[in-house]
Amino acid sequence: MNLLVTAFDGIAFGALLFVLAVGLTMIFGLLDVLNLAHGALYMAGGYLALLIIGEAPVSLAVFIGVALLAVVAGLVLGGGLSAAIRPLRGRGHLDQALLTMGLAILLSEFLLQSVDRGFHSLAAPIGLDGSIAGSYPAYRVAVIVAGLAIAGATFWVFEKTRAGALVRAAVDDPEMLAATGVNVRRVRLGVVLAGCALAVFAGVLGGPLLNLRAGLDTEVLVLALIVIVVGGLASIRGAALGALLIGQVQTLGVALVPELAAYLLFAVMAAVLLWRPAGLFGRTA
Amino acid sequence: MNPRIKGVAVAAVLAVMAVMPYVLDPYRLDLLSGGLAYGLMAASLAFLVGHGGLPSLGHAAFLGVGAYAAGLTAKHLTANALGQLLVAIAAGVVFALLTGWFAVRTKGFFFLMFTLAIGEIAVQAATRSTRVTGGDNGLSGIPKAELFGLDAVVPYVAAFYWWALAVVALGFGALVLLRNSPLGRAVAGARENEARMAALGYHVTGVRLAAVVIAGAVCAAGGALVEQKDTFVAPTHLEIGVSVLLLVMVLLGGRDSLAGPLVAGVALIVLRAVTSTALGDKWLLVEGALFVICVYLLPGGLQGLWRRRAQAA
Repeated sequence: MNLLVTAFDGIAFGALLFVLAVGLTMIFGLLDVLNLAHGALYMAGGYLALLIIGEAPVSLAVFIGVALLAVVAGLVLGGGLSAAIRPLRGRGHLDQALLTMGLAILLSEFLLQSVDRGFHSLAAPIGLDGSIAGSYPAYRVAVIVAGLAIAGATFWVFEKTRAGALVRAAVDDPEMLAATGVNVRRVRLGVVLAGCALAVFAGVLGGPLLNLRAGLDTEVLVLALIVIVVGGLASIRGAALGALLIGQVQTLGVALVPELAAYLLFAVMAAVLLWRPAGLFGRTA
Repeated sequence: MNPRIKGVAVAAVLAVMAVMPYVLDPYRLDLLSGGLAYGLMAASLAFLVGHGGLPSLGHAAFLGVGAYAAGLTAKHLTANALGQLLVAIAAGVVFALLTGWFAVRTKGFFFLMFTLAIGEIAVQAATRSTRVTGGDNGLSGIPKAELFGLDAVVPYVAAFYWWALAVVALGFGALVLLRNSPLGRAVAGARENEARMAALGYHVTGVRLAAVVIAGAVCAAGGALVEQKDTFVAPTHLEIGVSVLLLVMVLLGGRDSLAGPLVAGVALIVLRAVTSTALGDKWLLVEGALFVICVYLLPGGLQGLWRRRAQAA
């Protein structure tokens, strides 16, 4: 029974990881930029909420309002990131990745300086702070529902809408897409903005689950990276499956074999890389 | 440069460094010992990133492996500094083989991500394996390393400085020799044109693994020095910020050079200590700014190599 509860925790964690990883994987797919600032963006969401509502529980409406504000902040930060990367286009992809790393340090340190380096946690909003089915925290169920909703929406946008078709085309063959008269640069900008907004949103969503503290940015960044290494780059399905798998491995691992949990993550990643070097749903270049 | 002039220059630098215990006060000497250790680790990272074309974001893991190995050896096996160093290097080689065996099978961004993940996993491992590593509190109560009786003649700080200088000089010399050796040229070849190297009969994955092992072993030696200097090691020694610091040293010193990162390493460690009272924990902001400035304004060989690698692939 306990194990089942932990496994359910793992699904909630996986849902959170998916929201983070899906943006990371699409930004990579479209721009060939590995956004190492993604963890710092997540952190920005958490600290933004902390600065506005503090650690006390607030009403659901306020919480959702803060989450929407985080989306706006994500759009702004995404615009900034896009502008910062542009001069380096044509300078090679590694420099762009390194630049995002530098920006990530600046952002997360700025946040830590404006609050402090200690532990903080957001309270679940009123109405979701109780438990359901006996003793299971309602907020975790809400995170799973939110993750499912976002996953569903992402799939729908990508598979069924014109915007999604443009993004898929831009991943597959940007030159041909540009030749048909589509402004590929605008498509790319849209994906960066959406990905960054999702990351900051994830920071608010995950606030009541993961403690805010120094080093949180790298921790979630690495987990999101492992998710897309496992799932394959530029694949939404891969991000979804990878997030669920890593969510389980991390949560069950920490609960059952705390001393070995870190090695378990490594083992999963290494096994996938050996079995399918491009990830479960990756394309072989 | 004419090899003879180069030889004289190296000897002059070594001579100047060797008399530092008679010039600097103990605090500054201790600081310089630490700076040299980090410089050596930065040079080992430059060997991997610049020479090998293998951009690692988790190099501090090797620092940690070396430091914990040396610390555990000091606590449980021997007080002999050389013995601790050798165990640390051996641990670095084993760790490089274990992780590198997978890492060199990945390419480009996957290598970047993989090494970043290894770095973070190493931190988690150091934090969670409380019984062995002391967890978050770190490994404390490590006895001072025995420096062959040298500290009976001169103060311990001076003796340790000489020991550190010798290790760094030998480690750096080994890096330079290996870079110019046939193996080093094969490493550069694997960076430049993988297909041609394979066609020439080289085992490209093996060559890359050799580069990881060399860099890892040298970095672990630097890690052992860090532990011996402070007789302490904690998970903070290997967290991602340290990997980034090493990378800043490499970017600042020049990715194609080994001496550049060594000097940049010493300079940054000294700079951090000098500004620590004024900056406090704002140092990381400075580090981030330096990083961004380096990427924008100091484009070096790496992205050129990267492009060529991308074309070759």
